[in-house]
Amino acid sequence: MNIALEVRRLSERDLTGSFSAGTDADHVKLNLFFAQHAKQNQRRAVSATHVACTNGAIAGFVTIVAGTIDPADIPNHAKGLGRYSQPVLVLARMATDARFQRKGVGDQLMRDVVFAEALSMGERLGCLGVYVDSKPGAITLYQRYGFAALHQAEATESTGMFLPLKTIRSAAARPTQVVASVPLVHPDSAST
Amino acid sequence: MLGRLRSAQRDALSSQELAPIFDAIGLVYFRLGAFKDALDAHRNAAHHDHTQANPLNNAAACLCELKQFQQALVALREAKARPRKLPGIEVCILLNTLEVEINLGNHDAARRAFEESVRCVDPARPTDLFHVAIGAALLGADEDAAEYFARSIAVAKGSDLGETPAIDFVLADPDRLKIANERSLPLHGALTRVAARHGAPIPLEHQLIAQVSLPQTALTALNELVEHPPEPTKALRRVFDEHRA
Repeated sequence: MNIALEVRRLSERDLTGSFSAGTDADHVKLNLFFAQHAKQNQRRAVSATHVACTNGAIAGFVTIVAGTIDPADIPNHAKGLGRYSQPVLVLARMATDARFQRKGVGDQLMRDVVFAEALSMGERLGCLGVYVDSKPGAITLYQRYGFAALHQAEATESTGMFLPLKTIRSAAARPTQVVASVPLVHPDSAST
Repeated sequence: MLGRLRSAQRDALSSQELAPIFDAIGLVYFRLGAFKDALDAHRNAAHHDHTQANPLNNAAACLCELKQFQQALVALREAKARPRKLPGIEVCILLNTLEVEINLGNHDAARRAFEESVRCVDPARPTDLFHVAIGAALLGADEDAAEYFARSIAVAKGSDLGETPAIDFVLADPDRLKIANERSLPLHGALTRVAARHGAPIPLEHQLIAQVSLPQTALTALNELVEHPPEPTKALRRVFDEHRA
């Protein structure tokens, strides 16, 4: 069951120290990043972190960065991408507090922050789509949204994944209203 | 001081008069580090006055010092069940609970106690905010400890923190920092670590990558996705549709 959330930019006054996405190694790293470095990065204008809050508690966070896909060092770069760096939105970190998992926190952060910022960036500056280096445990989650795996980095065990902006635009567009002009009748009910 | 209190105890006529005297005796013993005597006094106070949570909370603090954590937890539960008349007593009970739970190895329960204390703390009481700072430090939430200590200073000074980083605000007041360091070793540790991190470069594993370099095959796959974007998945559509609904 989803919970009511307020999604907003991380503030200096937010309590980040007791956030806990879990206790395994990957989650502990995320906890540490959020507690110790999210504000630090934001102060230095390196990234933007947004939080989803409920009843004063931080239920989840996402950190995004304006990034580039850099084909410069590839001699035979892909034809359509051009010779120079291409703009993307990088989903750098995302986590939900263990107590709020499976309550729609990730969906709301993706929609209100990641997809919204990618769409806005696409309008204002240009953006090919959203890129994420996914840990093995999160690949299925990103695949659900339509992210496609591009490659696996052996050193970090992460998988580079990408979702094109056009796909996000298509999902964000209001669906066509279908109005049935004739009442639908079940074939079996016609004879009765 | 103890002599006068013992004399007052002898002259007291009713339980109502005895309870605060026993509680005061307990506080004196506690300050002297005589925790067993302090415990006896606070238990006597609790026995004579059932309308206050304070003596039981103080008894729990003594039990904590005596490393009798299970009994301390029982005393704190009883304290919670009693009327909490003194300002800040609720926060005090919760933060003592936090300390006991940490010592019992129940980190989740300690965290719940901390969060409850955060919810019921009076943001206008510097003492309460200071206690929450110590609680955060005990929990290992260094940044939260710095934040609450900064808030306690800001309230005491009557100034607004705005978007100032907590540690900047704390370091700008060396006198209060010195007092805090003397009052609580865990808080001192937390503030030292936050200050060290504040000016240091972000460790490599926590730095964010903005420039993505991909091998040729991945670039080709990416180009294919950009040129021929796939239809949105059900989950992606649902995320937007639910919002519209």
